[in-house]
Amino acid sequence: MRILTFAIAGLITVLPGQYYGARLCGQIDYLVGKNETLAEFPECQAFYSGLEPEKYILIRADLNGSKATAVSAFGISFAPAGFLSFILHSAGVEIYVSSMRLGLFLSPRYHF
Amino acid sequence: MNNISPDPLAQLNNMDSALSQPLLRKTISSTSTTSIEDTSTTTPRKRPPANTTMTRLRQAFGFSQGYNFGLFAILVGILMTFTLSQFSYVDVDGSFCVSGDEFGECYFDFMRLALKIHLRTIFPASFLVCFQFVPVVRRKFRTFHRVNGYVVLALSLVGAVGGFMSSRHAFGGEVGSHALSIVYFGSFAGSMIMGVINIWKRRIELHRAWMIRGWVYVSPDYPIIATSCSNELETDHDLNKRRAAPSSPCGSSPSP
Repeated sequence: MRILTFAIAGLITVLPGQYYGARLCGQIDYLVGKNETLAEFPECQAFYSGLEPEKYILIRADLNGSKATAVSAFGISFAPAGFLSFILHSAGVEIYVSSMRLGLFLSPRYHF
Repeated sequence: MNNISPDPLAQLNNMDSALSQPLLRKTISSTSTTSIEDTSTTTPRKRPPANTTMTRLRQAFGFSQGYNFGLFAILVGILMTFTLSQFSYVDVDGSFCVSGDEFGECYFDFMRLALKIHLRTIFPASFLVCFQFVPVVRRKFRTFHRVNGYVVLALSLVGAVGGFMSSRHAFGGEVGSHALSIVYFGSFAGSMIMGVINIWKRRIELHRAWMIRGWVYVSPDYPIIATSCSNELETDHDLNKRRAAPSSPCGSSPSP
């Protein structure tokens, strides 16, 4: 899953269209601090002034950008990587478990 | 998949040794050696001696099949390494939210609660479950296997509930993450329930199959926390990329 998460995050970084994820301004502030948040996302001024405590911002998914954009890239690629790795793991365990009873795992005598 | 052997004890003893087909196995090996002798005609080739260190290690764990021991060493080894290396994260407020949280998830109080439930139960469970897969423990310490199994079951099911709760904010908390955690929680809990029902009915092979299924289904989750920076699984490729872009998520230096 870790490998696939990195792969998909890298893929959506280099793909021609842009992918975006939504985050709370407060979460980005928790992550990188006030100065960097304001420098990168000036829209978060409404969050700091108390006007909109639940202010959401759109963050581009980009592994090579700032910390916030990389977090967005990982967030987008988490679910597809999880589903893919679940399918791969379940297929692998069925191959083992179905041949376990005869003790013929990876043996030429075993026919699926 | 019905049981063939009526006696569960005999079935337990036969489990790893793959004695279902001993005659067949013997005939295969004998025919193959004879064919080799036929081709080489003069000197009968002896089988090379087994790697004694590996064989002794394998027999110490109780495995009779090499591939079983290989799979055990890889899969349980990864689980044990991951568990021991990240065990300090059971302290959520003091350790995980300080050094392990690379995605700002500790910002949410609900996430902190879910992580406390999840990490405090799943780390002891994943440490204890490693002993469940050792054949020697299963054969010689059957009471330990049983008691440890119930402990792991209780801990891991509570931990699965905590993991399900944590999907509300994990990695941005998208709907895909919710669906993913439903699939993981359902498959894991379902496998555990099937395994327990099967051992109550003394169907040992089915119990073993379901327990292996359940723990492999959740095995993609092991390295999730290890996405954070300082861990031994990090590759050189990642390090080089990080040096080139110091503001990537694991870079400790602030972006300019």
